[in-house]
Amino acid sequence: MIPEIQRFGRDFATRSIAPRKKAYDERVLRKGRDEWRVWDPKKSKLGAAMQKGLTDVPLRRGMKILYLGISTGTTASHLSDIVGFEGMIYGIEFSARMVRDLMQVSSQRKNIVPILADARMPENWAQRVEKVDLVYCDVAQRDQSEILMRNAKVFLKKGGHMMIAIKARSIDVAAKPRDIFVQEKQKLSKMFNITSDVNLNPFEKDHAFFVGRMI
Amino acid sequence: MTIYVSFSPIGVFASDGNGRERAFVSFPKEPELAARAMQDCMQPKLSREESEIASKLKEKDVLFEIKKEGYKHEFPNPAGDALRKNMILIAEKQRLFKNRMEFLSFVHAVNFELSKSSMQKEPVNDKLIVHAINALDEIERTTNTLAMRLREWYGQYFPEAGYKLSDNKAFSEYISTTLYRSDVRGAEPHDSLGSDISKEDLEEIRVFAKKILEDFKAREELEKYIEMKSKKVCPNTHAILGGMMSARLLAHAGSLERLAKFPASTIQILGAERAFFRFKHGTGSSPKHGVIFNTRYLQSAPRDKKGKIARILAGKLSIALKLDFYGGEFRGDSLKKSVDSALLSQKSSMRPRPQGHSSFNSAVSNRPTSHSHHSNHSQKPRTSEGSKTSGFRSGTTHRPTNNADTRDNGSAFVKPKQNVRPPAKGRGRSACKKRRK
Repeated sequence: MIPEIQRFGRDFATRSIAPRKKAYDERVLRKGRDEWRVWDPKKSKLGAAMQKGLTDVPLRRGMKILYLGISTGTTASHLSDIVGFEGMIYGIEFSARMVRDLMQVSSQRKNIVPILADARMPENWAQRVEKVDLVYCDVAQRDQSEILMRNAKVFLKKGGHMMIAIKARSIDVAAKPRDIFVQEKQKLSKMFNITSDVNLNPFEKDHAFFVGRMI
Repeated sequence: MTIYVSFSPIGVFASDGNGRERAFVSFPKEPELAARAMQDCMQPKLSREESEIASKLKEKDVLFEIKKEGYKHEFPNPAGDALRKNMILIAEKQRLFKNRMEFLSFVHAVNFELSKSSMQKEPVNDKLIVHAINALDEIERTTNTLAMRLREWYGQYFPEAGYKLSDNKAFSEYISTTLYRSDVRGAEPHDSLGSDISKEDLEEIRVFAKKILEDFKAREELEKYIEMKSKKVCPNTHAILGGMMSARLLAHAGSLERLAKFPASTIQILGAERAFFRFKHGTGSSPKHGVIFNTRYLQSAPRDKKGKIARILAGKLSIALKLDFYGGEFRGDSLKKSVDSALLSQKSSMRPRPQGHSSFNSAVSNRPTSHSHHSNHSQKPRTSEGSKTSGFRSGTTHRPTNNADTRDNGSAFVKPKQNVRPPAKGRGRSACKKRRK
């Protein structure tokens, strides 16, 4: 893995860029002068994916990220620790209630940009962001793969990466999750080389997590 | 040659088809002003900076990235692509920022301002109703719990009062005013089963009772508030459902916008999600009604017509909600009337089923059966009387006699029914029950 993410026993943690300020009710470990924020796999799908053995994490310091469905910024706060102040996270969220909490996190972490908008319609907010090195998609919509690909086409740099959390139950409540994962993987393979996939059970039910690179 | 124009937090940018810069006009360096300039650029009218750039360009053929009056647009366009890719380089060229960090914090600040102003513009009135109805439910729950405690507590002293006053509000009112056994008219203090309790112990109960009474009053206030508020926010829906039910629907959807955009079929089963997903998983029958069930329309509908009424009601509600959300005129009364008349006609509908009602019926009638001597009649056009008696939902094997025509039709429909599964009405229910056992 990368130096920005470290293991403490069973837990993963990131070095906080905003010490003494919590983004959510995470545990904090002190080590010398540094503060390490424990990544809760029950609250963050990327955290869950790492607990399930995902090592293929294309995150670097100084990276720019487009985060679709950033919600209250739980996962994003760890990403913000990793990319640091040289990097930037553009967070798109449709729910005003979530953005309200996100703005709190964002005012402590100046590398998270809150954008209250619909990830389905990048034309409405494209002018507010830059091109990015990674698109992270966690939108729990029926057409989540299409949403990711549409945004990647506009915003992802050449050879950029993607991460997506697939929620099978949002795509079809009745179908078998495994079938949906296969189907979504096929869809995404048109645009990305999928390098890793993990099932998030038991942290999240009927969820899979894919990591890939734009072809 | 076509020139492409787009904008970003730093300013408006024009380029040729390959993204090479042709012109640039920067926004103010104060984040608040830059945010306002961006908002102007998002409007269909040309902003100050955009018209400035248009005047700089010799070319007439200008293409924007978003809709602009009198211009074409295309998303994404080469200018936008170039700008998003090289924003920091363009900013450096213009000497807008000292370093990368300053640039990033500027982008953050502008976006923060923009999000702040769009948060402030979020419609809030429907949310207030949702909060109020949720608060009402919570108050109801807690007052009931507290009132039960009050009954137990006071029962130590005067249990007869609790038996007499079954209404919780009246009971707490009685305790907070009267309290003492000796003050109750016509009651012999020593007849009570309760034990004697000192005055200070009783006064403690009175404090508790007063608190509960307060909650009951708050509950009534909330009810009035919800009634008033929903009449204002969604007048059409209010006319059909009344304030409480409108608020409940809103609470299920979360906002008026979401609710207005739901199809009628979703409104119909809102609140019956568990049953619906059970149905989608192939166990159980599809639900016919959700929260809508608690309206007088469905309460008074005949049992076998509840589904139909629910469908009609949901349809009219869907119209009403769209009128409310998109600011249409008030048509609530006529919508309500049409639901009412539908209900009335269903109530008095011992009338024949409409002709050609069910393809299922005719499919059944064409089935090869052992009663081959009827099959030559099965293709005959159905009379309304015939279809009535064959009615699947009637669930009877009643056969018409006398009229030869109807008898033939009737038997053609009725006979095969014995080979078919029982009528749809009871099927889902019993199937569910069995499975659960």
